[in-house]
Amino acid sequence: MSRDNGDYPFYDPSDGQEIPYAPIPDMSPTRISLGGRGVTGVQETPPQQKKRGISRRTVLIGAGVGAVGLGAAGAGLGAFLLQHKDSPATANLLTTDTAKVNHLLRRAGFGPTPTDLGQYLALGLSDAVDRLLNFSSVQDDLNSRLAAQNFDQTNPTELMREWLLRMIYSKRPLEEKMTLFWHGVLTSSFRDVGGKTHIYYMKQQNDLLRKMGMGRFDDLMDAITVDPAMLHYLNGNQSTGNSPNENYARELMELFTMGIQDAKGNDNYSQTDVHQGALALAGWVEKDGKSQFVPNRAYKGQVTYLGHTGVLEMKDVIQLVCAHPSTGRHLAYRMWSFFVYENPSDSDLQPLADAYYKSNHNIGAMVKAMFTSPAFFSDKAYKARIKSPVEFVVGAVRGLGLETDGKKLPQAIAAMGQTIYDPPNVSGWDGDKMSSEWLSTQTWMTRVNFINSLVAASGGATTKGGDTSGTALQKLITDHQLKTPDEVLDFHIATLADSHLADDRRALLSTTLTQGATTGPSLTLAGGGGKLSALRLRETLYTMMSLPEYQMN
Amino acid sequence: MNYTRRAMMKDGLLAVSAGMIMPSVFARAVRAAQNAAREGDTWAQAALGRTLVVVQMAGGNDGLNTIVPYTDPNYKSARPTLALGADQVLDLNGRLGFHPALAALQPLWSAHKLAVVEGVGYPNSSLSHFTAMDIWQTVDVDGQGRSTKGGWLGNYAKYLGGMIDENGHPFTTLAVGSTLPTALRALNVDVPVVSANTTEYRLLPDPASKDVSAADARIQTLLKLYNTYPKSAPYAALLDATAQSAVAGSKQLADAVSSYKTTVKYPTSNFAKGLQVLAEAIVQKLGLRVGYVTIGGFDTHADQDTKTTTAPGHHSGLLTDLAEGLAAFYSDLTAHGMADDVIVMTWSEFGRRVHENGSRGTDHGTAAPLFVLGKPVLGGVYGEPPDLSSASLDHNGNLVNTVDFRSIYATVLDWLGAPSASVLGQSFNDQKFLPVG
Repeated sequence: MSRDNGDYPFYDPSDGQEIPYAPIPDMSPTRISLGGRGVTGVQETPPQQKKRGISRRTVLIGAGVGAVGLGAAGAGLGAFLLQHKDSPATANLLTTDTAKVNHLLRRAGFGPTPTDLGQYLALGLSDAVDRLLNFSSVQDDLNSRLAAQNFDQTNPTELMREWLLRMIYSKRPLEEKMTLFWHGVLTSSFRDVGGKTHIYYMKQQNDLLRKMGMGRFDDLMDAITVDPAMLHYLNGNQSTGNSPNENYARELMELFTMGIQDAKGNDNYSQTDVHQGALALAGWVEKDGKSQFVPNRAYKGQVTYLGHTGVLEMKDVIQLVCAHPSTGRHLAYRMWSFFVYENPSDSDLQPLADAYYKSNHNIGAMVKAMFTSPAFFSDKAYKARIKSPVEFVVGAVRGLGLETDGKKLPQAIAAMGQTIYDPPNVSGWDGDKMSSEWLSTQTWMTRVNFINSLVAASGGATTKGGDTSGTALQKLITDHQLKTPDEVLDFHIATLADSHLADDRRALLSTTLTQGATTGPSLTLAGGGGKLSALRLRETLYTMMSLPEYQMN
Repeated sequence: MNYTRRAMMKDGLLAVSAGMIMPSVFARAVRAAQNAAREGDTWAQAALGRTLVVVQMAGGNDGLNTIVPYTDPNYKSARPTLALGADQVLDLNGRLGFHPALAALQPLWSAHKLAVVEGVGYPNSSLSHFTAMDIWQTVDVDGQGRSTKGGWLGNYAKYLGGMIDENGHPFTTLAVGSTLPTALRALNVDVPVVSANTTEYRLLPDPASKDVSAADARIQTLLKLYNTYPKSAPYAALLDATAQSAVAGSKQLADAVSSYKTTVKYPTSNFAKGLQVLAEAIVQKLGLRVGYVTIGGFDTHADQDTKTTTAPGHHSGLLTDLAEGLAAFYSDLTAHGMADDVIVMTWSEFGRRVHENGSRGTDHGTAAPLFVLGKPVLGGVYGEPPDLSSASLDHNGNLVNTVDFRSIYATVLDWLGAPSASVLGQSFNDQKFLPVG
């Protein structure tokens, strides 16, 4: 078969090492409690009492780059299914435990792998939320593993691949999801950073968003305002006190902080504020990949900016925009639309805006308020957003527990309408605000075709000689001891469809799995359970991952 | 070859409805055809088969360096590094000239097939890209552009009866790219979007399975699962309509593309490829009424047209892509004898500041010229060329519009045979660049 039809070469773990057993540290200063009110939170008993009955073998399932071990808690999904079966519910009601944990993992990350779904389920919902929020206490050696890959820092496709692998394999899913969120808000494009040798500025900016994305908003804005890629992207580099360039000054207010209007529809700023802001911000330039303040490029006089008159510096401008009464709400709006659902109500946003001001502009406090809001686990939030291309592609690779070098993934997300590091314009991706923007006839077909090639590569359709013994689908059956076609079906329905399919839809998938052409090689069921046609399982997964419900996050 | 409903039945395109469900798009087409019949005379004209192609120049095109008022001393003084002189522009009428990168459009201008409409915009123009784009696309000039109403072309598509006409054409409206432009949005109308590489517009079979009927069967299963996804779930109707439309359209497009031949050499830009997709749809008589394609990169805050040893200036490059793409498109239609009923309209969310900034670029502005071109067009300059004297500029140093952008839409819609006042919500003066009737 042609490689073009989809060949996802398996990632070769550099040294075949076991994923280190990574216990959750007891507590840390950054720990945010679910129940506490403070920003840094009340320390809680760590969830280690749930360690019971977990074999080391189960924890290490999928060891290698693909493993997302939770360490301290967790049971394989196969085991989980044996003891716990959700009854199917109405498709768009968020009622069962499996659905809630899946929902949480999709929003605070990129969905579950077959292995870590069981582990998060064992943690319980509340501890799972805690664990995702307190990611800074989760040990991960991903950085060193990725560094060993030596991605070409002059090639944007390689930067995309590196970040996608990070999203797939990080043990800190929320850290990557927040980085993606900020990349869509405080955005820049590799096209405008001054050529090939400067492409790595985008990586620097990405690291900045990752490092500061849950901290104080003022600090993040101080940093991004003079970030080298941003200085190129929005022309800070060309702006001087004598001839200011308005590009950054405008978007700083319109898109990055307060928005054009307040909640009542009054303008937050005037064109004069844009101009005066540009004067105050002038003087920062990029030099050798670092930002530098050049006093003789700056504006020497007084400005009047948002009602404040004086000799203002960059940090003064940032302080004013971050403290603006519309900024908390505007950020809350962007966050809620990205993580929960579109067109949020005032009562959805108010707790996040309150958290912003009460915490002295702490982003983590807003994120916590969002994930602990009752509305987050409401029926209205369940499968309410169409997956972004990144969520779709990263989620699909994770959902099948694949180990991949990710070489085909940058092209896949681009064809679906989301080229990371290259947003369509300074407002990022429209789909981040209104997820229907992600869906068109073309992108729908691209999604379904991606699933076709992904499933083909995981299930023996593209291997020579029809040997399926080493394929990802066989590995799941073996590792999770799946003995019958029904067990295989329910195993995948748990990860890919929240154990939540209506009876007639499950019946149709069951028919697809057990009836029809069985040409080609077979997979071996566990426990001497016989054979299962690889083609039938591919067709079943193709259908399951092309379902309308699977398009939804 | 004209695809009639009968031909589609014969070649199996309607096989998608042979199963247990009637795809909603076809059901809607039947309803729409009935509605159209009731609309009576108004729609007799739309049935004539006129086609509008809309070109979005995203980012805010610098109108003053596109249609250059090269004889105006105010222009020269406002633009010490960017001004184009009489020796550079391609003269139009002794006062105005094309940017030299628009050379490929000169034959169309000379043949009186290109209208330049000057000073197009709206009062109190927003300097925000996104508010301005929304206003242009939703014609919601009072609502700060954050409208939830559909786009103006989406409203027109609704009058056409949705994405599929009574002859089973799934491409009455078609956007090239990956996402649907706001202008084409409308409730309950599904506008197909096709990438510039049309071979990607089909569903692939399992690579190890040679069984064509099995591949069809799994698509049938999938469509059924889309159709039965509870409609109370978010976006259920959109997902269903998208899947049905994609499956229905893919085969027709594949057939059209495989039988389309051209002697015209299109440029290699994505923009030109997009125009070629639209040309294929028109030449192969897929029933196209509205086509949409975007060319981006016009937000020229810095080094707008600075040449390097290896490349022309940025704005020059964009205008070259624009002009050469449009010229190829027009030649292709003409060669196929299909140019009589097709016009192209360009637009950009705003022009740029009269005075250049300190970075050899221009900041956000307001009114700007746009182009309408095609065989039916009455060529010439329309509207008022801008007054650059400082007393005539607004308080931000921007141009004051002289032509309401909605009057351009009205003129175009009237030519298409659509009830423009109904589509746009009110009546506007005809701008005369198209024949009446």
